[in-house]
Amino acid sequence: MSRIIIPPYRVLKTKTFETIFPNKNGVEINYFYESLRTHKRCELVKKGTSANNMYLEDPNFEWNPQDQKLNCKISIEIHSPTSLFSPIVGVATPSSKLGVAVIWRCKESKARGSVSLDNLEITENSIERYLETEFSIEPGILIGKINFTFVIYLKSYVPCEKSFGFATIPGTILGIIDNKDIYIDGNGSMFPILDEVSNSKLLWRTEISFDDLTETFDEYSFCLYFNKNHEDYECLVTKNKNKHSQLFKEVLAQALFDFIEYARSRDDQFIDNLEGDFEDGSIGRQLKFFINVCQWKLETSHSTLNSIRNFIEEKF
Amino acid sequence: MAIVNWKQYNKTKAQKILSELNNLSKNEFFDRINNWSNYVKYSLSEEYVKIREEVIAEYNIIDSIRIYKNISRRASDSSNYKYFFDLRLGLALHKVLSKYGFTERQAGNIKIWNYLTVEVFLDYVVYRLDWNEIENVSIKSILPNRTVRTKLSTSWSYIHLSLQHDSNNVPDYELTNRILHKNSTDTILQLVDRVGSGYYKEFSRVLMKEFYIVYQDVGTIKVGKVVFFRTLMMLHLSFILEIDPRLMENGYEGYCKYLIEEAKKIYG
Repeated sequence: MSRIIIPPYRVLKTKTFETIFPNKNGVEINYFYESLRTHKRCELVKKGTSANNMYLEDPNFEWNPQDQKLNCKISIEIHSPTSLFSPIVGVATPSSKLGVAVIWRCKESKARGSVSLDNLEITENSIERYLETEFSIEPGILIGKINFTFVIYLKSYVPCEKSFGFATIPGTILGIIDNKDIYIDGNGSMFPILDEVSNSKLLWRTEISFDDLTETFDEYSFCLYFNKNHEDYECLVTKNKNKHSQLFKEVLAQALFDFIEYARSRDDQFIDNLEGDFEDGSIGRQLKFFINVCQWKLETSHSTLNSIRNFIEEKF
Repeated sequence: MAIVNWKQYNKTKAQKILSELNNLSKNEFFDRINNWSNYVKYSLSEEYVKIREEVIAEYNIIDSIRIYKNISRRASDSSNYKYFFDLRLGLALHKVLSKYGFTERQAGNIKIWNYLTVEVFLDYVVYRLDWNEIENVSIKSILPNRTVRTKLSTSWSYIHLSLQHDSNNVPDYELTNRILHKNSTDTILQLVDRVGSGYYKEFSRVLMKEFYIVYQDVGTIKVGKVVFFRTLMMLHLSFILEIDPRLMENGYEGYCKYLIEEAKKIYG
């Protein structure tokens, strides 16, 4: 149930809003991080179909929100804000000052914070401006979905005659300019592949360990290790024209086959047992995904290996 | 040394382990719990054994609360006992886990807390229950059904949201303990469970300090601590729909003072 709040003071009306922020795309925001290796600034690529609902991808596979800040660069266009101070449709008295701030929230870590964009002070005499500014969020906080809400707020209040119905407490939010959601981690199962430096003669190996299908599909239940010490390691991981090597595909197929066979060795009726409900991220849910979405045929070992290889050839 | 991959149990796995314990007789169960430190040496990886030992060293009062040694607590003491348990365990957990790279990212993952609860600190979670609860409540209830919090995560969050820092911005656990030690389990409930749409941790840290200072002056506030803190948090939740604490004059400090003054007005 959504809450409807009727504030006891004037807030930004849609018409006023459209004249001041004419850009239909709202606030433009780009995301960066500083590389720990090169100390250079790298951009995170926004992916997705809706400008207000994107996920971030790092083409260099280096950004880790656990250890690295998220830097956000904002571009915003403000037309003459005189109407914000008008006695009829305005939201503040003529001598008051308004500010622009961003309030960010991360639902999973339950963290939230706000940043005042200090160089965006708005007074009655402000002129049309296109401004760029930056803020950052500390490492170790963000996970999953992050919401950014851009707001206009009362920075300082100066009373005047006939100042009726205006907010008086600095910090009061007078209107929302824009809302953006970004995702930085997926919510589904991970496919765990790790590099290791091993003296073993093997190029790759799997570690599989679980008792039943309700357990989490993660690196503790299944992990594929690539041996960086092996002379063929580069052949395995190097991509050609952004495509995985044939060796990689064969290894991946065999590792997944091992995983399925392990499940079969624990319970030869495991396909029938997949009828039940499984939590998101569990091994059972992952196997269901393989059968229903990837169309793997797990009835026999032979059909399993063939269907996995066909799938990987098609998709990678 | 930071842990990169914290072990996780989904709810089904954690409940399954607790169900197995539930099948033990009472004596066998308490035997297992009282010997948990020995048991985990074989069941946990080296790094988790180390984490456990360090948390126990920080907590260091465990001997005085062994359930078989001291079961004569009166019911009226139960709330105080639980509060001090949560406070000390929270301080110990926060201090030690931070060293291993545990941040809000991990704290937001209930599966990590499930693992810590059923594999690493199960004895502590059981010791926190009072005697009646141990006798009458199924051990499975250690993992709550509906909420997304475990006892451990609540204790950790309470400290995280109240943490004080010294002049070099290093966490000061002694000061944190001092400003919190006269609170109650209700303070934890109000601070941690009145989440709204997220925590402003900088705000709550200032609030806990201001709240401590306000109650140092005896007689300034004509209402008990529990009621006053509850009022503060209720006002805060209604204010932040309209006001952003950081954007007020003097930021979080200014907002906290405003909040306390508004709450004082209610009680004349």
